[in-house]
Amino acid sequence: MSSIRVPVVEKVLSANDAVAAEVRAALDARGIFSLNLMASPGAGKTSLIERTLARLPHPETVGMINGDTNEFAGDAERSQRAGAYAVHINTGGKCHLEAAMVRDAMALLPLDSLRLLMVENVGNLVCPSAWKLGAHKNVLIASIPEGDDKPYKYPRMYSGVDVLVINKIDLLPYTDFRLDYFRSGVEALNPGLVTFPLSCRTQEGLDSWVEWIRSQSGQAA
Amino acid sequence: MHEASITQALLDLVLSKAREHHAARVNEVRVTVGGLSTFVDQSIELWWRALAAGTIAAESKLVFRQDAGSPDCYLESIDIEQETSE
Repeated sequence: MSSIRVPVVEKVLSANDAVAAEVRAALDARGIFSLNLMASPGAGKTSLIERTLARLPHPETVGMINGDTNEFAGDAERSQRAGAYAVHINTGGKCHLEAAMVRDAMALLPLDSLRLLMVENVGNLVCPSAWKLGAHKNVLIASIPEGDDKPYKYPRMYSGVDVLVINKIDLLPYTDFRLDYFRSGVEALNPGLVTFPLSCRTQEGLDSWVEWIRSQSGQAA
Repeated sequence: MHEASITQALLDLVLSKAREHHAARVNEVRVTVGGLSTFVDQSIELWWRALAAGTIAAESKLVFRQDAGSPDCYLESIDIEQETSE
């Protein structure tokens, strides 16, 4: 038998990227704006979703895909109670969502009546950063209690997102969080990153975030 | 945990390229791992042994190269033995 070397030079995740492109095309065909929400566990992803839905004039035009590592569907139920159509994805232990999971979940949503799709990724600052989902904007939700060193510890996540939300800013006076140190870490990785400091608890700063979503989605949702 | 997913993606890609070239066996797989990719080669290696078992890549050797500044992993090449034609 003859042994030969076959050059390939292809991204290992190219198959996922292709599905992500399909997802994007399906969203664009229906004029749906989409967000991939990523954060560590406990940063307030679901709380931000609830607050956002409460402020949108048409939550019934919002689809939610909530990813979790098991059958606990509490996040999807909270999204549903806040007025959105929600689908729970059980990743079966996987620490991130993949484009095919989003594609399959979209088949369970009334896409023709949606104007906004929010995907709540699995709470994790490492794995979700490697899998494109096809969303228009990748959003990272940081929070004050996590500490100010996170951009330095999770550079792939901080460098790969389009928008940064800093949640729980009402806790700043009670922690040693150095906002300047945090921000210079972010700036080094992702210069000029659009940032929304806010508090889901006091609702400070939520208006600008919701206004940004509305402007991105053509004021439709 | 997420190396299981990327290793499965790597195996799928290797087997599809191997089939295209009528491979009977995959001997070597060269992979570049980006330093910002969040993936670790030792972990890919471990999953490779488990996932490739029972395929034509079961005995293959993984050869890693690091690319410190890259966020991606690339399959660079595969060394294969081709089926002999009758």
